[in-house]
Amino acid sequence: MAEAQTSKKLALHRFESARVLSSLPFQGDESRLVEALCNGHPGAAAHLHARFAPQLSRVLFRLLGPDSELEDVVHDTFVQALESIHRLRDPELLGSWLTGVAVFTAKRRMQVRARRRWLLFQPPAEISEQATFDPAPEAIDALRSIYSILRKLQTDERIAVTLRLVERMTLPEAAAACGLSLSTFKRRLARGEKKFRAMAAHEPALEEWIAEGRISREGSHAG
Amino acid sequence: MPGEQLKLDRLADRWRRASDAALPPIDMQQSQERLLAAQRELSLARDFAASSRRRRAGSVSEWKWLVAATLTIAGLAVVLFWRVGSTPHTFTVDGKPASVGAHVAADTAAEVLRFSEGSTIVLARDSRLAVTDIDRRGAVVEVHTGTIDVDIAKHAEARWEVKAGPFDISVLGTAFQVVWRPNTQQFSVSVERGVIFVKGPMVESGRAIRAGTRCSVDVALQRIELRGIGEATDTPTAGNPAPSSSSATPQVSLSPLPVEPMPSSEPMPSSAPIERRFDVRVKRDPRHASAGGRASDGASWRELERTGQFDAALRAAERAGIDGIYDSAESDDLMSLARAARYVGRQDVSTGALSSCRRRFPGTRDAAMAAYLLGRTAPPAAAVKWFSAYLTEQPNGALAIEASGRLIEANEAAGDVKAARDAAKHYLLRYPDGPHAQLAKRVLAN
Repeated sequence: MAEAQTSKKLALHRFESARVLSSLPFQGDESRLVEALCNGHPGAAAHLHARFAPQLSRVLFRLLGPDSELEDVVHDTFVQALESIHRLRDPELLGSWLTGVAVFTAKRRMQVRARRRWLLFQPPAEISEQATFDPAPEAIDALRSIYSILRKLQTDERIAVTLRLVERMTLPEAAAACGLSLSTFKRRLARGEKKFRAMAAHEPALEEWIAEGRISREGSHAG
Repeated sequence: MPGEQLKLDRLADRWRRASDAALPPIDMQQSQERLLAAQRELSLARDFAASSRRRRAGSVSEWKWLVAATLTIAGLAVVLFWRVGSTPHTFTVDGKPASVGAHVAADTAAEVLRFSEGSTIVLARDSRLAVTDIDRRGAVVEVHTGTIDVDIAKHAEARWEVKAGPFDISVLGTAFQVVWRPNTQQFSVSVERGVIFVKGPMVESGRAIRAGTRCSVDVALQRIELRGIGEATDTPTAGNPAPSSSSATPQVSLSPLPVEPMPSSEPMPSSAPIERRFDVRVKRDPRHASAGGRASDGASWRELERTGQFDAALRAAERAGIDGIYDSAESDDLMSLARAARYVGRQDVSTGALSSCRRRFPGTRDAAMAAYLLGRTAPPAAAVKWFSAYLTEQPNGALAIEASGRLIEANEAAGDVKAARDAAKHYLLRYPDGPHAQLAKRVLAN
């Protein structure tokens, strides 16, 4: 019992030390950052957050669409990353590895939400007018339509379409982020794009965006 | 079609901009503090776990030792009784627990079935099977179609059964491969290690197939062939790259093979070298002329490989240019080519395809799998490198337990006693009851 208390004290001591260390800024390149993260350096975690939170938030929002718990998902992604940082082999790939962790977290989230909707008959989340910075209401309608289409795709297809079309990842990058072989990713992307294109063509809210594409194409041909 | 793609790109562009505009702001400070708090909790949890381990390992007083020893002995007795007495094996598919009745389809990539007593079944892509029964001695597996690589851990009481169409294979403790094509009624089994016992058409009374042998049966043609694994396959002649069925059956016996009794579990034949090659050939049948002729008509090696025509696939790949495939094929195609090459004994092509996969797709699961497969056929010193690479890249991968065990074997074969001991220690820490646990203990005892 006494030993247990001692170890708890030691842990608490480290907890206190960690709090002190958290005020120290981290300095160094990516390999030092990864090394520091593996060693539990709080300054490194703060640095990681400051550097990658905007990027991960954007990726997650693009993947998930409107989600009142977006901040929770971002947090989960970072925690997942801290827990598994020792598995990162090449520190230079930290950014793309984090994107992969975000994709994995988003995928889990989509699956949980789909199950919850099915079990509890919950309606899908809607885009809040207040939370939207874009003043154009038609853009909100269009986004609503897009995510309503995406919800009808398989989770893997939805992720593939978003990473490729919106995140503009190359095929190898997107496949790596999904943890899939290139050919498997291509198959899912092809299926997803086909379904997405077919459904988008029948969405009135997307008519303008699609028409814009046609006009632009005609314009480019003319030019 | 390009116009459609352009429309989609434009739509994506608007989607991206609207999405970024709609992105709610994040309170960076609050979010960061929350992360740091989570990091502290993680750190605390790790500290407690580590100190608990240390405590357990180093500081139990004497009376506690006595109690602990008594409890351990009692616990071991219970566990032994439990395991030997009635507990069936359990198994996982691709790391996830599965149960009897599971139908497994490897539609896009190979699947690994791992059984709790150490046996594994690798289901090749485009193959399907079901686990229909399982008990404390083994399991019954039904191959619906395709190829499986079976590696049964050697236990005195092991008793496994693999069904492939009308064929029944009884297994004691061995490694073998089964190919079953229901559409062409072609069956083949290649035994890498140990002995199996096959019953079915043309072998109605049963036949033992020993290590280093392949038995192929064409049910439709009533043909059976026994051939040594790794024997040279038919080589294409100039102007006739795809030999006809009449020229491709040098060792065909048209009558059923004589009965050979089921071998007992003891003594088992010694293990064959791990680099033993498979040689699976699918014979041409005039009634299958359209399918068979496609090889010479330029059918892609990929398509031929998928339909189990490994010889023809290799020939087609060579016509298409092996080096080009190494340089341009995707990772799963390279793995398929390597598999086909392995089955027909073309180790050079197998190694080339796997090496290309490693070089061109680093960090992927296929690349790690390639390292494992390269390790299986490499000389000991190189095998150490490959198994270590697999374990570095996929420390919790589906084949980590096999790679860890084979790493001990390879280090021992390479004469590196210290590395073998290190590998054995690591193995016992991770897999105290794994199939290589006895080997690991022996290495440490020496």
